[in-house]
Amino acid sequence: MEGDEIQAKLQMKVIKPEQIPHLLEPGEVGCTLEVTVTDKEGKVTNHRVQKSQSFVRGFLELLWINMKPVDEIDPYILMDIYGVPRGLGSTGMTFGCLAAIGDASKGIRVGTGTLAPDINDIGLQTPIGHGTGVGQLQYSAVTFGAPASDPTTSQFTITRNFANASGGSITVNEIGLQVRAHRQDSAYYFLTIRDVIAGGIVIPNGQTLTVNYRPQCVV
Amino acid sequence: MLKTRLVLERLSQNGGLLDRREQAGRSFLKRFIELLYIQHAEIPDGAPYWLRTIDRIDFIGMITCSSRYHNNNLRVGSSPGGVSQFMQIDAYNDITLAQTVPGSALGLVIGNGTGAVTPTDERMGSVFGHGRRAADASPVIVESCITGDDYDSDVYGNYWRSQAFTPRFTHRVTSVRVKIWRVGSPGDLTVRIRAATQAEYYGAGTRRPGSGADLVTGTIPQASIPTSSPGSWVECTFATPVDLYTGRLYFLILSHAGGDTSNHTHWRQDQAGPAYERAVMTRYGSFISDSSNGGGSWGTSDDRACMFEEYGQSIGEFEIGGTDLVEMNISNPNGQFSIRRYFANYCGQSLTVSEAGLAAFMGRIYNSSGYYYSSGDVFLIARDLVSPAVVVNNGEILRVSYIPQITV
Repeated sequence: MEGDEIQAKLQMKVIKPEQIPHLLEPGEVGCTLEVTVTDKEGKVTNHRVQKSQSFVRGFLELLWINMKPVDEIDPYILMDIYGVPRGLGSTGMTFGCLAAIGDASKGIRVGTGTLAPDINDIGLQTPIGHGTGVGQLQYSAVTFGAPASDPTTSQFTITRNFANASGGSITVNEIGLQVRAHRQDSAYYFLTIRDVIAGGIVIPNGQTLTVNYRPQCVV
Repeated sequence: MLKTRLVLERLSQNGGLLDRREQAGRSFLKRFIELLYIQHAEIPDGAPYWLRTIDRIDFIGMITCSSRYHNNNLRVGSSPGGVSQFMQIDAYNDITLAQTVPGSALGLVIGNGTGAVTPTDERMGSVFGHGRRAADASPVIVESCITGDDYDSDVYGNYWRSQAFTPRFTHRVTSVRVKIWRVGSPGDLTVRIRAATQAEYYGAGTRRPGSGADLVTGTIPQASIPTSSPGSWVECTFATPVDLYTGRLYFLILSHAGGDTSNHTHWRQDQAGPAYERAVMTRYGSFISDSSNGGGSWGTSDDRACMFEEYGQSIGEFEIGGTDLVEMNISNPNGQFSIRRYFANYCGQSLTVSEAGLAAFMGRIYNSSGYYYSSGDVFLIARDLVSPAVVVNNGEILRVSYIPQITV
């Protein structure tokens, strides 16, 4: 079985207002995190929806850079996912996380680390790579659901599938969001969200994990 | 998770703290989510996402096209209220747009509206402008062109006419008067005010009534329209007055649902160098904009002005400082910064502040046939009711801070 590629089916749709999950308190800006494991026939074998715990410093710093806005002549310095300091100014590319199949530099990533999130996290503790080798998952493209709102909550959706064709089960313990920001024409990558899943979520060989991050505002 | 605190500090003229109010922000709106979405999803120029500006105009949201980078998205830092700022939206080597935005329209804003906050709020309930103007006890003439009419422009069916104007001060528009007369029976006349599109290319551009929502509408009954040339002044009072912001361009639009060449209204117009100089987007000064397809598209004509008077009331003004972002501080498990602005009351009377909000800029650049086009506008991303309201006496200063904080 190892090495066989699994074709994950992608679905993108605008979520209906009555389907917006309400886990955040009034006044909060955050994310809901939905994880679903499905088998080859599309049958759901595991499903959880929880409040994402953890914007990390990268989110606040990139928000600061764009809102202020910081000029690249007098840049704000923050650490990329490799621990390299990068001096950045405001650009139109900040927060971009559109990623193609197999692109693990940005978009939703998963890992096996279990350390509790820390505001100073700059990357996943133990990221899982893209592929069909032992301990690897196949990263789909990142897709997005357009903004929607109900009387209290507005949101959009970021989705990625992770198919397990490694030949064995893989337990995902941590999930994060990596985004890009630019200096001139060079892109660098930064962690904005990191969550640890209590007890982990097991993806048996041949099954697919779908992760939905839904950034939300609640008035 | 991110939470926001809203802090209002009333200061004496010498800066001494008189009163401090802190409340939880309730506060970020759908526009904030939409601006984040455009950035995260890297919305391209080929498939843009439409969103509404603070003047309810539909705006094509997108990130800058490939390899282009500045668009000032999510910018809330702003110049002082009385200063227009130059918004640079540039490409790799080229500055393609010199968009100006009044300082009072961007960043932290305050007002006296009391309507409940909803995620889809597009505007503040009512906003304080920049300056020292006291609240108007009754409507006053804000903008007008009342002399020099030498031409009739026809209004009927799909032929809509509009006059551009820029308010001298932020106010709530209550009514307009237009100099008109009619031929036959064109039906009731619809009066609307709609905001302008932003400049589209190379800085100057032409600006037209935008698509989106009318800011305010009213009706002049056919029976109130005189039947002989050169007509007379007829008033249209708006049932629900709305704010018009100083430094921003609006159009007063007249239209009929029916009518034809034998049944129409004439809107008196000056075609010979009108005196009105407060809608200057071309080298000739005042301009009008006409549509022959019911507002679907518009063409502009320079050096003309239709006869109009626009009435409204200021709710009072503060001298508004710049919006600054300060005190970035990350200390596990928290991280926060402050968005801060000073409002000085020298209008001669007390002003009551009952709402606060954040207005953010977003620009765009797109490539069409090898030419780069760009534009930008302002969006309300947060709104809070201040409860109980804060009364700022004449001579006092209000320091308002939004403090977004994340906690792990």
